[in-house]
Amino acid sequence: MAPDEKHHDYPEPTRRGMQTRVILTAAAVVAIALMMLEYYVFFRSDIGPEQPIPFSHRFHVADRGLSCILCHPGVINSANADIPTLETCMLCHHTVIYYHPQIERLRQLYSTGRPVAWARITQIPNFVFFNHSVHWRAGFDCAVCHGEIAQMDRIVLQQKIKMGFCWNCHVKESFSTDCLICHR
Amino acid sequence: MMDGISRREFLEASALSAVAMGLGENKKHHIYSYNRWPENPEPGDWSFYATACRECPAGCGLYTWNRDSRCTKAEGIAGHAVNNGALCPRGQSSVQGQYDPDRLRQVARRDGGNVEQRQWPEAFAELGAGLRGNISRVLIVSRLETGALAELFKAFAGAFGTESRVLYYEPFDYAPLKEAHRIVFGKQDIPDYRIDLCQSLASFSVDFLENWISPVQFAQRFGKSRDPDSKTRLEFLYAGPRQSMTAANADEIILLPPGEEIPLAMAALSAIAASENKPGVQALTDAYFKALPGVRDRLPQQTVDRLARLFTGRKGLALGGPTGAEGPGAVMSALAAALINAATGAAGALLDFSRPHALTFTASAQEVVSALESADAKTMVIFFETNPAYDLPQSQDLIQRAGVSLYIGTLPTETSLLCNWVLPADSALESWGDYEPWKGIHDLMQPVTARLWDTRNAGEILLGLAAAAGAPLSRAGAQQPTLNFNDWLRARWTDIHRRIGSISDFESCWRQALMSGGAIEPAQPAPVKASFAPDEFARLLSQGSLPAPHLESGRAHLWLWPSIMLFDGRTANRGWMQESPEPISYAAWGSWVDIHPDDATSLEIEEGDVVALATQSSRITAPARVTAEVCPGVVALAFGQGHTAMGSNAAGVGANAFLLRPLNPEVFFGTVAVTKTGSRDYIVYGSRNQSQYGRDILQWTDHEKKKDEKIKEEVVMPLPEGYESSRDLYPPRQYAYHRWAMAIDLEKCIGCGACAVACYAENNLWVAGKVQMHKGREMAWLKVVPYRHPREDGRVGFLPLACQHCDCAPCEPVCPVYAAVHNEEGLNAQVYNRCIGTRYCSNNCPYKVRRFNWGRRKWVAPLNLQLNPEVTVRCRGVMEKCTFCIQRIRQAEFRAAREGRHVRDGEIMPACAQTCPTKAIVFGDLLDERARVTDLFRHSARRYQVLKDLNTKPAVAYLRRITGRTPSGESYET
Repeated sequence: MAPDEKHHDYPEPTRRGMQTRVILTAAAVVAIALMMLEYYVFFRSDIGPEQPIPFSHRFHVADRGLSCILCHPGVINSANADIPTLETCMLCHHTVIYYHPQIERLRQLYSTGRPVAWARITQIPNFVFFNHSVHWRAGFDCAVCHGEIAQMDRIVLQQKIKMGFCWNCHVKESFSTDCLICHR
Repeated sequence: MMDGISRREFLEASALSAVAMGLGENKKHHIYSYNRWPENPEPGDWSFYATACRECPAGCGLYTWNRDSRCTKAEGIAGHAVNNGALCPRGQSSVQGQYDPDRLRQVARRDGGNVEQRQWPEAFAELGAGLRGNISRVLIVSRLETGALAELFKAFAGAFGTESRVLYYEPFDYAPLKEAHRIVFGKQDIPDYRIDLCQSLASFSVDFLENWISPVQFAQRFGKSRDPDSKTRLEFLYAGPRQSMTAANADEIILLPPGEEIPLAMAALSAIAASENKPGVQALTDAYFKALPGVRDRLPQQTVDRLARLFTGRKGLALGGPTGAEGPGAVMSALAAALINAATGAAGALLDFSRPHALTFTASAQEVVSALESADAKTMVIFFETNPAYDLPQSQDLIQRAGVSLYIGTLPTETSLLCNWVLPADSALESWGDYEPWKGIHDLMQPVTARLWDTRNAGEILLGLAAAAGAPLSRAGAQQPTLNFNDWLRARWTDIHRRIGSISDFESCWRQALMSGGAIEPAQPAPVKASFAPDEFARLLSQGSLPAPHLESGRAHLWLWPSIMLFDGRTANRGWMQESPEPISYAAWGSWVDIHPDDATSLEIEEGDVVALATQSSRITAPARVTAEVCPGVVALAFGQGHTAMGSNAAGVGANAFLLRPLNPEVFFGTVAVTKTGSRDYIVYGSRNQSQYGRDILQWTDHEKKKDEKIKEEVVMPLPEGYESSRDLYPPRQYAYHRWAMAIDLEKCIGCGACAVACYAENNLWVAGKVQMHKGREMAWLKVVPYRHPREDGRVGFLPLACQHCDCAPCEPVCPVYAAVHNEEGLNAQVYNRCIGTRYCSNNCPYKVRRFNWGRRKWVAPLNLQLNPEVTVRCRGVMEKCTFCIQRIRQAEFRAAREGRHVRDGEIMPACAQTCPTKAIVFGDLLDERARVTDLFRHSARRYQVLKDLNTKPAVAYLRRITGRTPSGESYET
């Protein structure tokens, strides 16, 4: 290489460079196609993921009038809202629709001591620390973040839980906008 | 930059990764429900379980913070009779020991070099058959146990052969102390030393703040009697060969060769006996100096007088018999102290024999060796959580003499490698059990977490073995064989319940003990009568002699000492313990030999030169640390390193000092040949330098001046009132609710470093390792640096330095991404997810308390189970630092909000303040006028801020250390 070409901005595309570029572009195209396939074919529905036991929040809350905190008592005192134990389900379902096949499954899991692997709907990154109890005490309805759960059979996240969402609410309601409120 | 990739390709690759990340987001996450409610509800919230700390024989009460049934943090139980809320660094590290990746996981049978994995039933069947067959004698060598397990050991030994024995072996067995008390008081006991009740204290090489009997308890008492606000301040004189952490807290240190403190103590005793009119004692001291002609004359009279003055007209206490020392010299040292205590009438009140310590029951090293020597093919030796192959090298060849050798323990130690059978035991945090540190003070242990591997409780193992051998054991008084260890434990506690004579029933007492960590029986008063038996004394005198004052060239007195971090080496596989620097030298990750500059010059040794220390039978090598903090003619080396087994952190680090320890030396540890090997090595230090470069970082004040109002100087308050337009560039910060701050009393800080280890446990700090630490990349958010007094030689102070949470923090304005920001409550926030790792903040921090995370390492399973779920696990490339334990602040604030009240003063305890044995750290809210920290900040006469001139307005106020009596400056000559 001549000395005056030393600081050339773009090196001449080598054969290896060209190959890499073609492969990378092809991979990107394939990846985007896969992503679109996933979004628009496999997950076309907007009714939320299927749960291992088809539990309907609409039926239990709107139809039967159960309170959220009956199954999620953690909101009162704890950071986590709690996922109800199978014991909680069995409070009613040891008599209610006893012979329903899904309840049969539930009972089987309960008696063998196994958990249910529910599909997770709401998730925050591990460097964010959210506390349900203080928000509940401040008088916020669950629906503010979780959406109209009482109207949903399968839960779909209506509101993306991102920092902007938290931030806007904290500013609007003049709560603390201290970084260390959520990040530690 | 990598070759062959242009900027455009790089951008393409970045776009591709972004797409991949987008795809990854659709991964299904699961969330698992409990089947039934756990006993302690609120998954995702803390629960606490009380148990006892078994890291040393002190038996402190400990409770663990549990989250989702795993324990993440150990803390002392407030109000416990032994430790009252505090823990030492080793106790803090017990959770790391629990999740040690190197723990034994499977039963193994070793036959020569051949190791086979076995299942428990096979092991029970084979060993049971052996016990039924040709085994006629059982030898149990265990760490010190006192409770149900001790009863079980005794019953087991009793069931198999009349010759069977149980030996409680501790490397530091205090045999000299027991012998001295037998001679003077007729009781072979280790009494309670009431340091909190005395006015003066003399320690003859005894490091009671680090590793002597019950160090946390003694440190607490020391802190109490050293309280600068109390009327009388304890005067403390230390005479010994090395400036230890304990010595650094003394008003006066006399450095002398090992053994020379004995004539000093005897001369003082003679003076005390004269003034107290005790002719019997006087006769003893006369006999002593008559037996050693010329010794009395070479003692500096002033020093003797000063020592004697401690005990005249004051309630004084003398401590003798240093940790780990054996033989007649150590007995003489303990005896001299015991005689002083007897002559001054301290015995009874200050030296309390009503509750002897459990260490009273230890077997001496000599007994263990002779017991192992007597083992033959018909003997089964059982080791439980003890490691004689490492700390008693004389026993190494004897272990395989036994027909069957069995190791029950948690770690693959040097001993387990020599045994036929290795049975993995539950750790102390997984076990039921009990321990009685002082007579009548019972700790109850419960499993605070489920067992990690296929391990068994030692009690269950022995019961199983006995049953397999066809001789099921039963507790004394029981009709039926006891089938499991819990029944045994409960039966024992039924007896304890009866002895206590409680009015409530057993079940409620049991639950109470589970919650509070134990129960206390009333003490039986034990009056002591001192008798000075001249014949015993004469026998000792004939055995022990003084070391030669001048050794031939190339030889030196050996001084071995246990460091507060590693003790006898049982905690050596824990990263926190290896990385936490020893308080005085501030060295970590290895061994080093302390050598005086005079000796170093004559042997042409420089700092970092590897020197060899050799006795007749063994030789070790370690780099030299040239320091004037040992007596000339003495080389000092710490116990605890030089493991050949145990695991990845312990093996191959440093040198094993136990190899040099003679079993029956003339004086303490005898002498060694010191030679320079010619190679060089480095010592890893936790701080670049311990000099203050004239900046007065750690300040001292005179005892007399401490109440003087004139020295009160303005502290710049980290509040709006601290703003001054002539001096400040930025507008004042306004605080609406809180302004968190800390006050640290340097007079109370003894330098133990428990706070720093507590910080490791609480805040998920990464262990850097030896190489990284040498590059200064350790993560300790809090360091307790031992600074030397700029003018007075030999005076050391400890400065616990963490982030100062400055009001005008220099780190904040330089951050290009606003990762270092000031928060609403005065904290200097570091937002990890914003940080891009420029390190500008660290460069601009005058206190150098910010730590850049260089770690690429993952938490080796199961160490990840120890991580605190309330604190972000930082990754590589992030700047991190002390947060004043923001997770605990939030926890308390949220709790207060839920209960509709304000946060109370003292409700928030950062991990460092919680574990401090002397309660030197006070944390609180400066906006709360009645808070203790506000009072100290505004009114203490000793307050100051580090580097105040920089106008950073730190939120940490230090209270000056008190120099006490000025050392006379006279040198001790021999």
